[in-house]
Amino acid sequence: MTLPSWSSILALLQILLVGYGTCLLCRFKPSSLGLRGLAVVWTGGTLVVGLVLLWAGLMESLQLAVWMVGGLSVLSLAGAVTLSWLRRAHPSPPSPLGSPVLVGTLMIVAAWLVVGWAQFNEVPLRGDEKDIWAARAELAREAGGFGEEYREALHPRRALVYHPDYPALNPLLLLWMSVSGGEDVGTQVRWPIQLFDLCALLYLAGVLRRTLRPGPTALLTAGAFLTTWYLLPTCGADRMVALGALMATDGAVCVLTGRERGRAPLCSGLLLMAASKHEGTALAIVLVLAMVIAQLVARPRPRPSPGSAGAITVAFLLTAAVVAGTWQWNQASGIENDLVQSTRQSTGPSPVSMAAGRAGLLLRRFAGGFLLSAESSALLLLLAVTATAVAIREWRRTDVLLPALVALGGTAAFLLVFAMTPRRMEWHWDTAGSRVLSQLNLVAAAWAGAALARAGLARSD
Amino acid sequence: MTALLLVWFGTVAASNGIRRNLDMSAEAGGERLMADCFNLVLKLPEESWVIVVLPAEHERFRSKIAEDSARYLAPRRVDVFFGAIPPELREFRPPPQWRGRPAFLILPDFADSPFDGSRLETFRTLGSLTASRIRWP
Repeated sequence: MTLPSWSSILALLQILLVGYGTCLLCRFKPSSLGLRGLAVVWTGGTLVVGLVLLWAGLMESLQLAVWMVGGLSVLSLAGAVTLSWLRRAHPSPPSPLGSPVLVGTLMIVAAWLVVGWAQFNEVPLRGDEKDIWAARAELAREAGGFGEEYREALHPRRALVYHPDYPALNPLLLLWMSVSGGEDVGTQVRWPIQLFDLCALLYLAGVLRRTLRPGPTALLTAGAFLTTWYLLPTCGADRMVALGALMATDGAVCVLTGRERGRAPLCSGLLLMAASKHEGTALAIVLVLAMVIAQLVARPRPRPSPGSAGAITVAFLLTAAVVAGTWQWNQASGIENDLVQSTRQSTGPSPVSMAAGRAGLLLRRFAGGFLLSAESSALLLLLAVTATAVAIREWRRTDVLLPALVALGGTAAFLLVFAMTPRRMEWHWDTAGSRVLSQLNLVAAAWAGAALARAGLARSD
Repeated sequence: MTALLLVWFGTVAASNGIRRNLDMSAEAGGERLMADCFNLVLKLPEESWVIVVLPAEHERFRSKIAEDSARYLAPRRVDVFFGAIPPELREFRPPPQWRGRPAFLILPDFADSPFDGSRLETFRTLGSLTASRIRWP
């Protein structure tokens, strides 16, 4: 078992502190979200640390980032201590942790995840973890930043990195561990990515317990984590998109219903998705459409709180800025997405005609390899559809409708990409199908939870 | 609804997580040691000669280790022994082309503890090569 080194712990702690400081700066109190607060803090921290590292890398002085993040951490700590001292005069009542059943389940699943991370210290010798994510972080470390040497190494003709066009947050976090943790962090370099799983566990529990009884909340939360993903804790970015999708969808539900504070989860979830993988951009578009449809279809009609429209606009504009920044970097570096490039250069049949011919095979693969596979989908889509069918009169409730639209719309969008792929469809599905669709598992769990609550398992208070 | 949820959870847990977690625990020991070892070797210069001694019970993985060594650790020369350094190696005289290149002897401490690749210490002269011993502390 790998025991964490002090340098790794310090590197992680700084992300947490910077995240907390960011929340303070935005005048947002993470504890107001209960179990969901950690995800917002961690996401905020990773985004800010990533941004600082990006800037320092462009200046070709990665060590600068260590000093800057250190300074930000100290400032955040000072802010937190001051705030806590000021609040001593007016202590707020502690927020309840939840029922013993839920707390016990969360502790067991969290311990199971952490032990899995500590046990899994295999070196990535092949696969996406090495060729996509770790390769970029290592090249940047060797080049001392993101200057000409790094761009040259990134170019497709060198074939040192697969998919160099992908968004940068994941390799930035790996780079942060290398730069701040020193040479010997080993496989602990994965930990900032793996901690997104812990945040996701708590976030999902926080979403579900809002409406469901403690027992069903515990079962549904634990069950959603019994998939291949969480048993193979590499540092892929799909788990980051999954958490981002859950946060953004939940934030949107909260904003539309005017019930709770949803702006911070919406904004941080959208940014996390877009900064992690291209699928995040697709899901952000799906979420916009889902919000529009929910506004028209949901009953009772959503009544966002005053000022929500502005907050939603800002969240999506920031997300668009991340997407535009990634696109601009790729353009400047002469990098293009391989699927887009192959489609553009293809002289064969059009993507639409290819999709029509592949629909049957793709749907069979989808059913067998994902929908009915407990290892990939945890059967969550089936559970959600069944629970919605039982509570069919309630399907237009915003908390049921919006996650359903995101889960189904996201699934349709992903399937469309596989149907129109310029690659051999079977190969593309086998290498990425269930993994990519698993990004929607947590949203499907939130949908299932809302539907189950409407179908008779709602909490009594 | 409670019954539906219980059936769902039972199906997912039985067909997936619990079984796989047990599998993973059982496999973890041997895989981990080799992974640590590979990680260590990958940090060594490419012109290195590396002698690795693994526990005797790992001999059943001999062909897999040989295959992975050739695929991932090249161009380093990696010789893997199981249980102990064979006597003939103690008398080994390296070919001239290896003279002057770094050589490393990796002797894992088989206790269950994390490895530390940074602790290189001059070990002894192996043939005419100065070998560094790398060990799991």
